[in-house]
Amino acid sequence: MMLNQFLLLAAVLFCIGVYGVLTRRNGVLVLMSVELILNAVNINLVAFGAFRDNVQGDVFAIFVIAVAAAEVGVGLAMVLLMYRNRKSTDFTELDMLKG
Amino acid sequence: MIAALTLAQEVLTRSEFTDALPQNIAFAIIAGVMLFSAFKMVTTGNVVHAALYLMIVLAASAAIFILLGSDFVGATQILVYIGAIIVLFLFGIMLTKAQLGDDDSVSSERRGMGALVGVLLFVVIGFALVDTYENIEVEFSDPEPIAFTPTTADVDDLPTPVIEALGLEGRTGEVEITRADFDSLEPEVQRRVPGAEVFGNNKQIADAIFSDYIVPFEATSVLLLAALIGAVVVARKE
Repeated sequence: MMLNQFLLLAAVLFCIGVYGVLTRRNGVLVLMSVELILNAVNINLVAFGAFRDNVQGDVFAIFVIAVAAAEVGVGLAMVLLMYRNRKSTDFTELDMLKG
Repeated sequence: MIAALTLAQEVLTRSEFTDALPQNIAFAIIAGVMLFSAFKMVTTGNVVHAALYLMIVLAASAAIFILLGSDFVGATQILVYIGAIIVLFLFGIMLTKAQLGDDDSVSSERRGMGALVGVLLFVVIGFALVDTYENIEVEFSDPEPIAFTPTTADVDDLPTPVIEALGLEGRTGEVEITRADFDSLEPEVQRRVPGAEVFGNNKQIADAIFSDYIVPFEATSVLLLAALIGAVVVARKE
C-alpha cells in the first residue's frame, strides 16, 4: 500500500471537517466536525508510524485520542451552559464581545 | 472516459498494487464508506443522524488503523470514541433540544465560502503530499515478531507439529531446543515452541508510553482530571 493513499484520505477527511466547522451553526455539530479533524490527524500519525516502522506514531495517536475526549467533555459542558443561558446552541449568535 | 479506464487498468496491473491487492480492496471499501459518511455528517439536517454518521466515520478509521497494523490504537479508538464520545454527543443533543428535525438552515453564501475553503485547503495539502511522497510504499515488518530463549523441554509436553518439524518422533525425556532448531521452523510452528514469546505492536507501545513518554502520560492524566472538574464546574446549576 502506498503511504499517499492514507495521507490523501486524511486530507479529504480534514477538509470535510473544516467545511463542517465553517458552515454548521449548531454547537454540538461544530464539536463533531472538530472530532473529524482530530481523527484525520490520527490517521496521519498512524500512517507515518507504519511508514517509519516505529511506534511513536501510535503513541501520539493515543495521546490525541485522550486529549480529544477531554476536549469534548469541556466543549459539551460549554454548549450546555450556552443553551441554559440563551435557549439556543447557535454559535453565530455568540457576538457579545463584538465592539 | 476511455482515458480514465486505461489509467485504472494501468494502476490495477502495477506490481506494487497487485502485491497487496486484498489490503487495497479493503482500503478502497473503508475509505469509500468513511468519506461518504463524513460528507453526509456535515450536510445532513438531522442532528441525531449526524452523530450516527460520525460513528461510522470513527469505526472506519479504527478499521484503517487495524489495516496499518496498529491494532491497539484501533481498539482504543473503538473504546473511547464509539463507546464514550458518541454517547456524550448524543447526551449533548438530547439535553440541548437542538431542533431534532431539520436544523441548520445555513445560508448558501456561507456554504459556498465553506466549500471554497475546504476545496482550496485540499488542493494545497494534496499537492504538497503528491509532490513529496509520490509513490512511496508503506512496508510492513513482520507483524508479530517472535522472541525466543533456548530451553529444554520434555518431549511428551511438546505439541505434535513441533515434534514432527524437529524430527523428535520416538524420543522420550528431556530434549534441548537450540536457537538453530528454532530458526529452522516455520513461523506457524515457531510460536508453539516452549520459550517462544509472541508480541505485536502492543509491547513496544507499552514500553514507549511508560519509559520515553512517561511525562506526557502523567500530564494526560492531570489534563483529564482538570477537564472532568472543569466540565462539572461549567455545567452545574448555580
